[in-house]
Amino acid sequence: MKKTLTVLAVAGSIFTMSAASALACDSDDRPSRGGADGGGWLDNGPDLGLISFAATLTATSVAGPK
Amino acid sequence: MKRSGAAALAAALLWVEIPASADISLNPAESLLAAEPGLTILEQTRSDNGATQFWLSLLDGTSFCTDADGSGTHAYVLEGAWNDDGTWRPSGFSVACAGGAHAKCIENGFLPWEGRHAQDMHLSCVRMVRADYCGDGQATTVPGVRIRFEPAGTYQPGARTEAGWSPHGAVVVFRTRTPEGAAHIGEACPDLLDRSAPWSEVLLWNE
Repeated sequence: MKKTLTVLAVAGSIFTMSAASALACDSDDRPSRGGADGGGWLDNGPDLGLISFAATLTATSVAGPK
Repeated sequence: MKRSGAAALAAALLWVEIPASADISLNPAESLLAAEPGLTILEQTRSDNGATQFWLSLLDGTSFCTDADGSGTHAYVLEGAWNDDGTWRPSGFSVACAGGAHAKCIENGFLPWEGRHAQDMHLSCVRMVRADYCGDGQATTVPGVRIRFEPAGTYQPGARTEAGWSPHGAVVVFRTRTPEGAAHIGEACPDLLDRSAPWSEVLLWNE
């Protein structure tokens, strides 16, 4: 389960970082930006998993399951 | 890492769970999300590739995005909306739940908010993930198939190549992932099987 660590920096800025991200920062094998630049593997599937909202702030369509 | 007593105390005091807040700057789509009265932002974090992940709930407290087990999952917010045929329009915003094609593409580095080419790459990726060869919004695959992809440029199609993709669907198809894919191409877009067609529009290949 992800926990959120909020750190108030000296200048007063607030940064939010997930525990998973924090762990990744400590590792040399953190994921790259991925395949858009160099290719890779992914699991295919038919579901869009996308819900679009109109500018009037009303859900207009549900494509695929939530 | 060494830390002074005062700094350690300050850090300890600041371990808090926070609801959605303005602590991460919002792009226009994320601002629309924040203003959407039907959704509550429970948490937002930055992933390693720079995308902001949101955990969202409906007004009744249930998770907006859930996995197959019903557990709440994260989502990404995208500018614009999608028509049923998979084409994009610039109005409004969309929520892409983890596990769906849009989220998979984002998590593989296809970040549509990084400019026109990046958006086209993202749209091509979504067509590829769903095996939407004809670009009509009809997916022709089933979950559980792992595919390999390469951006156009250095890739040379070969015996393992399935198809070359653009934002509008496949540009050329060498083989299909499922028999349903072949049947749909035969009915709706048989020209894709013509391997002599120019491939200049291909942005992404897959095997």
